[in-house]
Amino acid sequence: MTSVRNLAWLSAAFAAALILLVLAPIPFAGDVESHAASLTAPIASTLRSTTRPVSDVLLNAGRLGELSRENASLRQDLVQAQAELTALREQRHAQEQSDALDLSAGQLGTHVTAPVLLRDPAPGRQMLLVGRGSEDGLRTGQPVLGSGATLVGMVTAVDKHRARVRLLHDADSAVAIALQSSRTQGSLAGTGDTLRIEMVSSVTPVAAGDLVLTSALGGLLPPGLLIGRVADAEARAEELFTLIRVEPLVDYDRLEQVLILTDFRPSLTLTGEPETR
Amino acid sequence: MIALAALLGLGAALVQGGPLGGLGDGGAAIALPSALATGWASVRGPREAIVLVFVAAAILGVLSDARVGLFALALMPAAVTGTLATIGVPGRRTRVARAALAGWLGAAAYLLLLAVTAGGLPGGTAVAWGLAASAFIAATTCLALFPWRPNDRRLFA
Repeated sequence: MTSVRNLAWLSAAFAAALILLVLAPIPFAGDVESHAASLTAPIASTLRSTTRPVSDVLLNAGRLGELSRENASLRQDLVQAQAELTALREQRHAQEQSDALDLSAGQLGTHVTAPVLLRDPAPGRQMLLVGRGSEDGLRTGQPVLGSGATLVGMVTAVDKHRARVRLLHDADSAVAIALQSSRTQGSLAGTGDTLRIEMVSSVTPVAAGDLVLTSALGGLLPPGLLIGRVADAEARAEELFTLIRVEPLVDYDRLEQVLILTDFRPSLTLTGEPETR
Repeated sequence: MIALAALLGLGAALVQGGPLGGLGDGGAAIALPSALATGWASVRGPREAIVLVFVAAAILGVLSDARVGLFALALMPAAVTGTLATIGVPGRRTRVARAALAGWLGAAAYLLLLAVTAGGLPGGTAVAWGLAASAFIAATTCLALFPWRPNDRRLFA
């Protein structure tokens, strides 16, 4: 008798979960979620801030917090210096070419800073919830930068006071890039865990350490934003494309503040349709 | 006890979305609501565990880009495996051991479903630690709740 009752409860719960999933696309559900998020996100964010010292200890696996902070500060300085160097190189390249590469990491235009409220709790989904929304000028498709003006992701959804940011290493992320020294174009895709460059021919030489920058190809991002450096490149004779792994210059797990370029208007939307507004 | 289960689901989801999310992939791999649902179901049966699952799913769905229904589906195996651990009305040791195994399985199903729909699996080490932690939490919950198990040997059950 108990088994039958348990089976009935579990079956009903499965059915309810399926119905919830099927009903998810209706606009009303999105509104309810948006309003509920305005209540729950601050609580979860406060919990996260309160427990940050414990998180730091766990993340550093026994290292002293002071050493960790010093290391983070030095890394930030290094990234800043690399960004400045990259910006100077890009400016020189832009002058030499006299083309559209007039936006470099040193000339970002209008931007807002946004606190990172939460990381997406779903495993494998590399997204952030940030504490700025449409009232602050945010729109879908705007680039999101971390320390040292390094691109970390793009805005994918916006409500009044909050926005969702898809990080570059999310499995659904893909952006057009160029390698700085060779000007080789490619596509940077996330694997859910790491970054890799696709669509670079196996006969094209790629050097480890080469800096990876955004490309204007496709019109989704401003050109010349720093992303990372080539960690290793493996060209196989039987493959058409080189397998290129990219090391990001920012630790995506430690983002606390991000910078969003609010004056950037993608020439295409993320869905591939022309921007009408 | 239903109200307590609902509160536990709420708290677990907020901790999952806040502090555990802040630990990166390793933290996200610890399926706290799943482990608690398994531990609860392994002692109290599925009815209250389902309440825990749906409250946690609602909060996680609101905080995440994934939908509430997907979280509810991903957490359901935890309630199922926890309920299976009660078959035969086992004693404390057996039940705790079963809850640990059920917690591991429930968390694996949770991670797999959500990671596959997201298109990317977290790193192997993070998953291994996350599953081990989930099994431990499920076993601990089972042990803590054991004194409040329903009496299944009543004459007119």
